[in-house]
Amino acid sequence: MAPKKIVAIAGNPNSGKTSIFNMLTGESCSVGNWPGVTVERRYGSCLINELSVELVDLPGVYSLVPYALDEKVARDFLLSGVPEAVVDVIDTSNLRRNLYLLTQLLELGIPIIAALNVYDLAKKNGITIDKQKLEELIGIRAVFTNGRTQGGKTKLLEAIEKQLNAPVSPKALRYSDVIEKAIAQIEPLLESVVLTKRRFFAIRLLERDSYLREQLDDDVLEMVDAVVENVETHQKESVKDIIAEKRYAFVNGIYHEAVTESLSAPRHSQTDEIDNWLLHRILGIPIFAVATFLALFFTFKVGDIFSGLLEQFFDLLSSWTGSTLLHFGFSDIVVSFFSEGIISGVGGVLVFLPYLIILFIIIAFLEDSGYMARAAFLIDRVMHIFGLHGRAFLPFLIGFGCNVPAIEATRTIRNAKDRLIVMLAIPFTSCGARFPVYVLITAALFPHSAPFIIFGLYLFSILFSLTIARLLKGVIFPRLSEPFVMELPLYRLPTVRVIWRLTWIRTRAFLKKAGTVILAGSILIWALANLPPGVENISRSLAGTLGRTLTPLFAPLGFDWKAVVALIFGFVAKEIVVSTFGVLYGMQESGLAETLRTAFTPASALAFLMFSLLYTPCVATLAAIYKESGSIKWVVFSVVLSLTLAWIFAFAVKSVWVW
Amino acid sequence: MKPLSRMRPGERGTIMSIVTPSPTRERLMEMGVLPGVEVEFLSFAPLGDPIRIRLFGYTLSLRKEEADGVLVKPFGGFRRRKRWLQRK
Repeated sequence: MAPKKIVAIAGNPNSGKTSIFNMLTGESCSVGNWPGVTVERRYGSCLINELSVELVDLPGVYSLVPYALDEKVARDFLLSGVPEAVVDVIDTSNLRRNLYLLTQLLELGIPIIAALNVYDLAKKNGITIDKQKLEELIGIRAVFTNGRTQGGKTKLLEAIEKQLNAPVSPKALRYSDVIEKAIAQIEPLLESVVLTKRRFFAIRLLERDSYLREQLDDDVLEMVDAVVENVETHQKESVKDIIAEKRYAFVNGIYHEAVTESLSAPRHSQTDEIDNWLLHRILGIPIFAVATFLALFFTFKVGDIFSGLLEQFFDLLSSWTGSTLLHFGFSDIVVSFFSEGIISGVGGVLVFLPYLIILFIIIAFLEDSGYMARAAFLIDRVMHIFGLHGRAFLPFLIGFGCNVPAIEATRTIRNAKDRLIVMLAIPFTSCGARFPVYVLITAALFPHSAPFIIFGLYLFSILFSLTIARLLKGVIFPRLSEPFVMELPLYRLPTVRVIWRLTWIRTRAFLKKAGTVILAGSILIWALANLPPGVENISRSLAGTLGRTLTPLFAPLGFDWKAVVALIFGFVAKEIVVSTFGVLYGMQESGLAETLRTAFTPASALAFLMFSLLYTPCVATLAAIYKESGSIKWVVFSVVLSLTLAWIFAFAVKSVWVW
Repeated sequence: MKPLSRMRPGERGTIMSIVTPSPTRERLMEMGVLPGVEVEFLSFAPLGDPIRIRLFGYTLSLRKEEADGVLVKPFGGFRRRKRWLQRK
């Protein structure tokens, strides 16, 4: 079989790129991360006649100059020589800005197929594009497409095939004489650095591209800088500006030649009317509050229902497996391994699915419709205080229900580094699973002030998580000041098909990557609790031994070994802390209050509450962090950070109370 | 000439220069905020920040601190919106 041809799909965010990608790949698409980074990578395949093509969906970008990780990922891939053609999805109702990216793609020298998308909307707004003229002007193939209705699919596939077999060379734009001379001076300097696409590199270096500059030797860099300075002194303008202006001038040129615009229909009337309400001075925020409430409600209340059903199912399955295996004479330990280790472990993964699926659907809906950008616009003032983009509000909010979907929700944040910061801060939001622990401890030791203490914990959690985000940003990425600058796209009715497929592939990815980690974690905890084999008393199990060994570390906090064991089990799922106490003291949870009063003093109880709030996230959350960040080091960082901070603040609380 | 952040809803003008520091400057230019481009100020967010503008036929939002460095020459006589829509 002939080797697969690889084609990249590029385009602005909101250009309908996803629906075009979906249109071409159908069932065969999958999702993952670009190696080692928090950027989502979608890929799939299609068959055009005899030709087997693999399509790689690049992150949506406005330009290829790498000011952000998304752009770097897209550009690196395009420069790698791997893709043999590029499909540029162009939002024709927003032509000029979309053409800006096209001018940069032209400079890459890779055959281009322009998918002139959303053309029905453009026509309604009085825009007509002369496809033929466009193709001739810049040396590409173009196809009118409509991602939502799958219009233009055949023609697009044909165009891709033609560009792979009989490519048309793209005509890169020529700059002014001064710039062209500078390019000609730089190109020979790059002889030892790059083999092809020297023109592209030369232009980038004129734009002072920091990534490329790092790849050059000092002496070459000096010569390049000399050329740049020469131009800038003569032109009295920075080369970056000259080039950006020239690109837009080129865009205008294309516009004049190939586009006719009849200004009869105002473009934005519908969207503007809606925005008058949704972004209203007085109503805007309340509407936003209602929208977020609904999002949370659906995710958690409805999610609870299905999750509860799944839990019941797995409980039944677990006991059925247990009794069946016993019936067949397997030893206790084997029975326990299968029914409590494996089956409950799998159940522990699947129990998250209802929340995730609903959340994915909601997020895709909000993004596709255009409301997500409005929401970020409305709340940005608050998020900015903590150094975050408006888009970070949703993951934080969801974190108070459950950290796992919150981590998945960080994909709505455009900037990859911000995404990471939020991912690291989310475990400090007090998720729903910690609530039973608060109730148990406060009921036992602070029966009268329980509500105030719990409220205080939540308030602390909000401020703490946001502050941590601010601090992490200052410490890990000090030079970063990512701009807010954000497009507010036209409103549109989301495509059900696209949403469903996106949700499905993301859920599948979660199951594959995070699911295996969670299952492994559950089995590990099972082993700690049930080994050595035949152990009856938990205190003699591995977990008990581990708990007792670690107790000295927690002595300053006033925790006894049973508390430590409960915390260890809380690593699997925080709500397990309560039932662990029940098992350790050999009684029902209702009777625990009395007993806990002997195990904790008010000071150590507060310390325990603080520790439970802050300490390492549950294994499912860590699995999600691993999946979304693409690397284990952030998982380790998260564990170390949370354990350290938990201990410090628990100790501080205890000391302050005593004092 | 005044910064984009000091314009009023409904006011239009031509961008003269951009002095916002990098990397915001480059990001703005990518999005089409360039000298010579016509821009219309749409509104502030309810909390006062960010702002919404229109250029090249699409809507862009940016923070006031980012818009401070975009210098605009207003056209004379802008459409006045009703008083209660005007900025604080």
